[in-house]
Amino acid sequence: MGGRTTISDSGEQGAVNAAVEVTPEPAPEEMSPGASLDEVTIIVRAQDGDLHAFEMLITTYQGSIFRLAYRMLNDRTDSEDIVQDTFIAAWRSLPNLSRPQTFRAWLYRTATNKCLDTLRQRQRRPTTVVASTDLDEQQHDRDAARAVASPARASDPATAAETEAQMRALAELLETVPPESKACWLLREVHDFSYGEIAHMMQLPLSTVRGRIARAKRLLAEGMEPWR
Amino acid sequence: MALNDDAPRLGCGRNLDDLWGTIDEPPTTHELGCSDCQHARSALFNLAAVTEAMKERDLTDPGLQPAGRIKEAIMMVARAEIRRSRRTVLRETPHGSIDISEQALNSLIRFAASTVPGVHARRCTITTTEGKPSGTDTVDLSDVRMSLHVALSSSVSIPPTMAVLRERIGTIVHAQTAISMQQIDVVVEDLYDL
Repeated sequence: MGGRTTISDSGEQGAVNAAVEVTPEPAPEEMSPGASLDEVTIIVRAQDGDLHAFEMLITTYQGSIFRLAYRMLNDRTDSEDIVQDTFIAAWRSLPNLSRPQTFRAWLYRTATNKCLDTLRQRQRRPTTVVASTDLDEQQHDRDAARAVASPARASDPATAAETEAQMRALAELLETVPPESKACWLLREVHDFSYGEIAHMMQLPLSTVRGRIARAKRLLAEGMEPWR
Repeated sequence: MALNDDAPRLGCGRNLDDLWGTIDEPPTTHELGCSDCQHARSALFNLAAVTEAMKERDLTDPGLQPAGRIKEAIMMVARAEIRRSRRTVLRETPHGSIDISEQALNSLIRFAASTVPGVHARRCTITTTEGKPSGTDTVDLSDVRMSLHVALSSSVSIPPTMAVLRERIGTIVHAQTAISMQQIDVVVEDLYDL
């Protein structure tokens, strides 16, 4: 049995290093407490068709993709559809991803585009808009559940109620922001992408991204004036 | 906020984005004396605070997670479309042949690599003839060669780790499949803990 050892510098160290917990595999090293695989390894394994690695990626990212979609669409069912479609598209396209370090941005780009498509379809067929009263009730239910689950927040009911009301107002205001500006604002302010990353993701000039985010901020800041 | 509608600028001409960028810093001399900036700064500061609160709350809000059936549905599609690649015949029996897919062999190789501390196995490629790229035919059992890309811990010494890795892969693959690897190439492409 022969073989070569090659040491290469991928030049990508540190680009993606979030650790994901490994649980079901029987490997001795990975069964030790706190053992984890680096994210590039998980992505590359998923590219190679490793189902367990792909499942770890879903576990890691499904929540953030759902939150992006929910804030874009304000509809739980549509948001779950976005999560499902995004990851199925990811599974099919993973072998074509040349740089695994760009997986997160690639996933968000797919999800954002699907959200914008959904909003365009709604404009063409405005028949499935969720009634605001339903949304208010859903929000109220979640607020109540959170109050039970979070004793610290509930310990100051007046402040908690004020904060919740402001967050609800912000969520409602987001509905008034044009979709493209809303997407850019969410990616920057909630999901921590840089202007450059968003420009690359949305295939827009940097100046356009800056303009869209600034417009979203203006609309939101003006809308929040009564709460100051 | 006194703002121009065409461009996101304040009445004093200042770019709104610039103001947002320094929202966490003390006000500048201009901002201290400019009512437009003071007003916008206050509004943006409030927006930043509420945005941060919403962001933190959303992270832990159980209502802002997709239902469990979504992951199940995705995995169902992935399992149905799994890329098993080529197959190799492990044994012919009177009742038929026993095959192993390249994908299953890759999993076995990755498992073998994971038994070596400090090694994260990444991409694995199986070839049958030196220098010839993989085709779509079955793998020749007598001439299995592989190339494995790995990320290592910065704390391991590479030469002895590679020796252990080759030995471990050869032993485990042979024990599980009776395949004797003709060649095991290893590419160290990253140090995962730096």
